[in-house]
Amino acid sequence: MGRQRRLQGGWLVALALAWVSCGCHQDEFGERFDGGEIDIYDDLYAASAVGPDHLWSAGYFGAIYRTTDGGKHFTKLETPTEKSIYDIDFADEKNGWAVGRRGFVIHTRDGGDTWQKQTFPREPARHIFAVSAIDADRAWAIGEWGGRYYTGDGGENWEDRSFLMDETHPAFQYLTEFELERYEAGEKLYDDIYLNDLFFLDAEHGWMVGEYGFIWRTEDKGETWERGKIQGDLSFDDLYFEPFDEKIARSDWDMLFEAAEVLQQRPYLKVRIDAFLTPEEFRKTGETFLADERASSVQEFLEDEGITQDRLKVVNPTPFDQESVDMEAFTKKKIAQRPHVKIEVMETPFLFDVKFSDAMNGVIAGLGGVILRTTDGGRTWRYALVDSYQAFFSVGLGREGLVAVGEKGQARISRDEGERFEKLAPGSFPESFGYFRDAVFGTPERGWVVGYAGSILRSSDGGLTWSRVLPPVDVASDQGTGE
Amino acid sequence: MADEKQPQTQMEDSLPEGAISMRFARFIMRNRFGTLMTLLSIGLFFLLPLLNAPLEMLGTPLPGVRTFAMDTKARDQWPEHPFVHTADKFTGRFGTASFVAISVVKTDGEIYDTDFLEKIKRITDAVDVAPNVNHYQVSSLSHINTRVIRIEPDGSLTAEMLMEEVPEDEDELLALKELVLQNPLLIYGRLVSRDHTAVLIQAGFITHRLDNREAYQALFDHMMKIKEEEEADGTAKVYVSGFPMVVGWTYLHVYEILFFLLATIVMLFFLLLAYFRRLHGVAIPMVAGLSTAIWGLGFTAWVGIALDPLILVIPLLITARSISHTIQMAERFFEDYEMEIDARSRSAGRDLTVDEIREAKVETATTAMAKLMLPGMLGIITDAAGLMVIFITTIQLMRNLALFGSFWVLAIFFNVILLHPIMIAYLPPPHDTKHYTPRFMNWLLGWAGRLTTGAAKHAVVGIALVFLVFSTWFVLNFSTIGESRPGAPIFWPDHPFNVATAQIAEKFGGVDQFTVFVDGDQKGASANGAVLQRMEAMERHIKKYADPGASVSLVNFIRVFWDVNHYGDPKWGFVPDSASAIKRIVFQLESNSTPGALRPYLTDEQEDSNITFFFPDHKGTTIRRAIHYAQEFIDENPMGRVSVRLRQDRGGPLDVAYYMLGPLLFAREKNMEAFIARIDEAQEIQGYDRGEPYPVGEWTKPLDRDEVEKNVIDALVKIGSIRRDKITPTSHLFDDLDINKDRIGKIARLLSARFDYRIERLNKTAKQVALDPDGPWTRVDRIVDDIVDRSVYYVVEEWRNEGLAITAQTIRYCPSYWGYCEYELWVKNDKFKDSSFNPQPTGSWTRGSEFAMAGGLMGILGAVNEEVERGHVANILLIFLIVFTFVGVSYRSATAGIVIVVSLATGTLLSLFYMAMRNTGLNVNTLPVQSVGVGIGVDYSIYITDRIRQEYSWCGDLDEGIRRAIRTTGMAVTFTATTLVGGIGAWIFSDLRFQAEMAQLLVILMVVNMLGAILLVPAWFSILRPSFFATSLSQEAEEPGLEAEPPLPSSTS
Repeated sequence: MGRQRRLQGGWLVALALAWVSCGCHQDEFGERFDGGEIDIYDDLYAASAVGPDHLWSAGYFGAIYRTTDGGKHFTKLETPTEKSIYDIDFADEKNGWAVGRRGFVIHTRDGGDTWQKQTFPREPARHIFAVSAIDADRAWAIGEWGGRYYTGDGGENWEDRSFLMDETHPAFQYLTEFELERYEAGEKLYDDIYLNDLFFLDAEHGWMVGEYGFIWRTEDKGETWERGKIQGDLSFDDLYFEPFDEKIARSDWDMLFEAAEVLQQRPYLKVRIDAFLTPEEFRKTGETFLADERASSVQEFLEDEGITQDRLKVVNPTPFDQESVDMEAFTKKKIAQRPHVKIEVMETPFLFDVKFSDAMNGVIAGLGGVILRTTDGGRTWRYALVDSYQAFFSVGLGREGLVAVGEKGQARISRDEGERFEKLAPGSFPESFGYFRDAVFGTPERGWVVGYAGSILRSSDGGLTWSRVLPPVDVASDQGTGE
Repeated sequence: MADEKQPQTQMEDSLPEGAISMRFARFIMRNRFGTLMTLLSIGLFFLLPLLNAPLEMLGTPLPGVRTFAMDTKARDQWPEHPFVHTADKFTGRFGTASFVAISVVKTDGEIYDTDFLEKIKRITDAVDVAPNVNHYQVSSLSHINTRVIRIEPDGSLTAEMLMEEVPEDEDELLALKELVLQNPLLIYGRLVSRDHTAVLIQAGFITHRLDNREAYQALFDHMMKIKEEEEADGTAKVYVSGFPMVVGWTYLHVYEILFFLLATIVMLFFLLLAYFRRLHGVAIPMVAGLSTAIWGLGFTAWVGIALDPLILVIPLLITARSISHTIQMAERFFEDYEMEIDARSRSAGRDLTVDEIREAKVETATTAMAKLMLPGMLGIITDAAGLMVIFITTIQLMRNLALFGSFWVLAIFFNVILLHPIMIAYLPPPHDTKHYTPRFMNWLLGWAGRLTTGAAKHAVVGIALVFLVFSTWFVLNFSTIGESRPGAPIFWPDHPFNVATAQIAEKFGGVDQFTVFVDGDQKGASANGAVLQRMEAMERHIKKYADPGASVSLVNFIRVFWDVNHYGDPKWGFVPDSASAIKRIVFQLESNSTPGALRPYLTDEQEDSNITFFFPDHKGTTIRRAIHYAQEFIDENPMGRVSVRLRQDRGGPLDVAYYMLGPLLFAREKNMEAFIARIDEAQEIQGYDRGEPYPVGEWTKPLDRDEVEKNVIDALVKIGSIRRDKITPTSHLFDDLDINKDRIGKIARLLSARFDYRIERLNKTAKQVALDPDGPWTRVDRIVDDIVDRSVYYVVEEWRNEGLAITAQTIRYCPSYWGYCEYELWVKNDKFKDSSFNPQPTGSWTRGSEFAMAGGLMGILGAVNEEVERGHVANILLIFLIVFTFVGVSYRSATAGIVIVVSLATGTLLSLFYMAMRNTGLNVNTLPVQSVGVGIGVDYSIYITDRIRQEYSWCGDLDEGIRRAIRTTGMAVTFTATTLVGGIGAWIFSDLRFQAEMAQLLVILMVVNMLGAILLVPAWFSILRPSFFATSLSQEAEEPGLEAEPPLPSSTS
């Protein structure tokens, strides 16, 4: 009996233990990626190359990828942000800066292994779109709302050298009372200038580009800046009118039609319309509205030809509130010997990227297939011949040519110093339908292009042929890069 | 020539007359006519709904009689689980789990071909008019919902259809290809395959309309017609996948199931004939089985359950078990009948007369009934209890199965234990009194008897223990919950459905969706920069750790549009911080798209949003991984200004207990957590402080009934526009007051909001409660009673913040000892117009937006898998516990219980080992088979045990008793198992993989349990020699009032 009970008891215990173990059931979910391994291939907006082997590329969600062996291996660096990093630039293999959204700036002295946060002296913080590192201590950065900053001590202190508004600014008269009060109280009023890119060849020579065809140059370390001018090939003759008439002469129609067609093809061009009347017309009518009507005629004509209103700017219209304006001075501006309308083409392409090979020769990439080149240090710019109306985001300066890349995977090369850009040879550039945002060369032979979904291309022959190094092929096919 | 069995002295193994089972048997047989009539009447009652099925089709149903129905409802397969509550909440807002995916593959070359694209357009148009389609959830190259946004050179934006007209020349085709490639997010890789050879067309369907066979059939037929027509010219192959197609294919194969059912019945008939060789042995088991089936099927109709074709194998099993019981009865009868005739002839010294033979027949039937009453009842009760155990799950399909399955099993008592002997009494006596047993079986069973009582018995037990331990280890480490292979496991890999699913996964990276919802508390809550950025972070987190093929949400659109809005500069492809920018973008998106184009991603009021992840498969591991990381992200990243949630403590030994026993235990305690965001001057969240809920621990007092009645009547008058004098407390809302359904919903909402009546349930809004035809909102007094009843609940804890105007309560509607009764979170938000308490089905609430899991096919499967896993373990444990208890109590021996349970466990674990080895995941369909399978095993063991007991009481030698039991009952057990294996074996060849694999599983179960019953159980008993065998039937007769007497010939004639 006792043996029976012991047996039974033993069985019960064994069974209970066995079944309790049924509860020891857990899934193990471990890490999928080792430290430094790229887990998600983020969009890349900017690159900086030093020598043939070093490349840093930065982009979405705080991503910075680095290679130190020419692209054989890439490492994802730790950064103290998950916001977009818009630009990165290294002065050498160790010292560099990265900038981004909402005034974000970080600096490294060890090639990107560690980063220190820095600050721009501006509130509220604005997006910073570009940085150019001159050496380990000196750098410039630019961004929206006229943002322009300089450091000479490695970023310990950044000087605010942003574009400001004062009484000499043409838009000063349009400030609100609140803004005027702030100005009079000594506060800075920042100019609404959207600066997109920045390039410093050395400590003295630098260039900036932005919206509305804004181009600036300096050759005195940024102490003074002057505007660069885009020399377009489209112009209008003055339109003359019959006395007291606002109708456009038939003989001028053809000229306007042709010009409108060109304007259609170049959507980055805007038109200024300034109308005038004769002293006699002013005497007889007692006002300047006749000039306004002439301007309206021209405006309506061009709108009928498909030019949208936002591209047609009528300057100096007769003010409604004439009591607060010096009408005598205004009238003087509107009087001319002959009744006419002056039409001026404003070269206002949206510009994305500027690079210079030396103090004289540079190139700019922009929206709508725009590529500009200069041979006088940026004082004047001309359009390159390009067979595309899609945006070019960047131009890289390689030994074999200038390589322009942009939206929808397009790429062009110029082998004549930027006069004309053509498609690369078939098979020499990976087919892709995502964008490429930046092109840089670490040496005349070794170039890099970065873009959508972690795409990094490499050229080792000065830009003639390119191959994909990131992401790996099987991942690339998932990203829709067409390969 | 079969051998003749040696006759035994009848008296030596008879039950004492005073035994309860004998007295009951005599009573039944004395009143057998009345009993038969009663049984036939009951049978007729259950037959009527079966007759009504064809009659209803003919348009002449029997009045007042329910109709038997076979149908499937997707919702019945879902458990009561937070994910399902979430899916219920958001159903209709974004879409459903019912998607059909069609892949059209060009047989030669790329898809950029005019004729092929015409085909795509045709198919898309045909899909768009499919029955119960949700037009806003149709996606295709040519559908109006598919648009691309362009930025013109002048910076203006246009949104146009990807393919408004079918391209006709090379330039247009090339332009289309470029457009496709330029949109990798939603088009390239999703609607067009990476290799440009296939196009995907997807359509969502309205799930609550897909709740009957006709709806599924119509949809299935529609899709198959499209396939047939568009494949006819040979230029394309059309592959159709998606859950509705699974159901459609299943219905198509139902006819095969019926064929196999018929084949099983025929096989059984011939096996019975071959074994018994007489009408008694064939007709009676078939009649008993048929009668049991009629009771079971009729019962489903009377309780309103539609039999799901996916679980048809279960009724077959139960019917087969009824036949196994009749075989036991028949076998016992023939055995005893032979002995009885011989004994009486010897006693009379001559051949018996016809009357004497008839008398012997009845007496034998009576004693057979008496002898098999205990083991039979024990087997039936444990079978039924095993099925009742399934009730502990919350999956309605399984609860239905538990209900009708247990009834079906209990019906065996009436249709076998009672009916079989009665039929014997009325049928002519068997011509042949000899009990035939095959020679080789006699030899085999003789060998088995020697094996289990000789020295080798230790080896038998040892080997079995090794199997048990190894199987247990293997199962614990390698078995999976959920479908372990892509596609639908109920079909073979080469089935058109699985071929289609695999093809779509290969071309398009998966169609299995896992959806996380963003639940906003007011209009515009989800069109918010912070919320969208958090959504994006979650997408990245899941992408990083769970590796989905793709994901889509409003974030993708926002990023693209913001980029496009800024001259197409990719640097602007981020989610803006400001809500006004988001609203502007949403407005532009909606303006540039077709009406409702954004609805799959954002509700019209911009209150709720979602993220959908596409996975290549829905294996259990894939689902668990997705759920794990989604929950991890949600836990680590609270959103909103204020957040309250119920949290269940995890970790420690309690996890083990709940994993193993889950639903058997009381609802696990949940504690309330409150988080209040710290907002800086820029209105950005800088972190969270914790609120401090305080314990209450009190029951509320019921509302005043008169006041409630007054308010209800007032509402009926005002909202229902009913004259007050027409309303009485017993007024029926529809029959008497003729009230409109919309008005009822409004009344319920009004009463809930104005007076804070807790009309809602955790998973039903006030309107849903009011419109539930089975609910209380049918009569005025019932409404009042419900409101008053619902006003009594137990407040566990509360959190209140006057500044934020929030009060949150954790409540229960039952006492803590009541068992499985959920902890519910109710929140009152005084900032809102409806500042009453409202239940939070997801167990959390946020002012602002919060994540809620989970929807899509994988979300639902995740809920089902959790329920199956928990229920499976508890199910098996409980069944074993019940078996142990019943057997132990019946034989007053723990050893008996343990031995039988160990034998069952060996068989069960071996079958689970087989499933694990075959990589067949446990799911809602396999679980009941396990339960039923255990029931088969216990029957065999109980019959053997009881026979050992009886034989031992006669011969006084346990080992000899074992050997005799194996020779006799073992024969019946062997035959029963052989018969069932022969019958179900045909199912192995079914086109339905689920049926075929389950047949294999059942064969293994039956064989292993049979071997367990005739080898393992006897061997154990021979080794352990438990004392309960010493309690013999003769000794029972020594108790006062109970004397062992030989059976009296005239007592039951």
